[in-house]
Amino acid sequence: MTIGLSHYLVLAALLFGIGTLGVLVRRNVLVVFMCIELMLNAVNLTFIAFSRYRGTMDGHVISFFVMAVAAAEAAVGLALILHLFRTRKSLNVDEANLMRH
Amino acid sequence: MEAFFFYLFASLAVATALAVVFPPMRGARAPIHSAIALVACFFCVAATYAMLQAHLLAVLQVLVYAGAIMVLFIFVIMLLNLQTDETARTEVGFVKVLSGLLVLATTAGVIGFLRNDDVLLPISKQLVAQVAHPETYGSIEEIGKLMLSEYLFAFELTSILLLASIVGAVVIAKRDPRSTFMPEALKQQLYRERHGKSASGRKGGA
Repeated sequence: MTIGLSHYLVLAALLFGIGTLGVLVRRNVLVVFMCIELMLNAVNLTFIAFSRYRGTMDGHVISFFVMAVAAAEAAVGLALILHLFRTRKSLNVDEANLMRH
Repeated sequence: MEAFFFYLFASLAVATALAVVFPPMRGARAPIHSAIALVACFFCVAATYAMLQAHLLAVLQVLVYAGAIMVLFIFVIMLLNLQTDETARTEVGFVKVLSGLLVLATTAGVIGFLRNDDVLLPISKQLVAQVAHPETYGSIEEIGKLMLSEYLFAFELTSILLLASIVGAVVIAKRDPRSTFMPEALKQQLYRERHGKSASGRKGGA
C-alpha cells in the first residue's frame, strides 16, 4: 500500500495530541516546555506533508521560520525557568500562580 | 518499502513522544529521561521529513532541534541539579483526567476525520506526483531562492527576533533574584510557602 498524505497528517495529529496531553497533565515546567516543542514539531510535519502534496516548497520555508521561532522561544523560556527556579526553588507550575490571585 | 519505513519511524516517534510525557522511571532523573526520549522523537520526525523529500529540513531538524535546543534543555536540567521529584507530588485530579480525556477524544476525532475517504478522497490516496522539478525539490537552492524573494520580510524579521531573544535570555538568566525588585505579593507568597502553611498556600487557586 502507498503512504499518502493522510498518513502523515495522522502521525502529526498523534504527536500534537501527545504534546497537548503532556502540557495539560505534567506539572514539571521543563517537561511542559518539551511538550510545546513536540507540538511545534507536529505542526512542522503538517506543513511539510502539505508542501509535498502540493508540489511547492512554501511549507519548507515556513517550517524553517517555525524552527527559528522555536529556538528563540527555547532560549528565553529556559532563561525564565532558571530564574523561576532560583526564586522559588521549585519547578512545579502549579506553585507559580501569583498572577491568578 | 516506503510503507515499512513510514510505519517504523511513525511508531517509534509516537512511542518516544509518549515516553516524554510518561517517562518509564519516576524520580529526580525523570526530566533527563524525558529529554532523551524527545531527542529520539526528533530523530524519527527528521526521518519522516526525509521521506517527504525535505532533505534540508531533515538536516536542520537534527542540527537545530536535536543538536541545539535539546542540548540547551539538558544543560539547564543539569544546571538545576534537581534533588526532589517534582512529579511525585502531583496527584491524579479531576481536571487532569478530564483534560486527558478531552485531548484523546479530540485526537481520535481528527484521526477519524482524516481516515474518512469521503473527506479527503482526492488527497488521501497518494502524495502527489506533480512536482515540477523533482530533482531540485527540497534542495537548499530552491529554499534559498524562495526565502530571499517571497519571504524576504519574514526572513529579516527572524533576524530581529533572534537578536531580541539573545538579549532577553542573557538579561533574564543573568539577573540575580535576590537583588532584583520583587513585588510585595510574591514576597508574601514565598514567605507563606517557606513557613509551614505551604500545604494550604500551594492549593491557592479556587
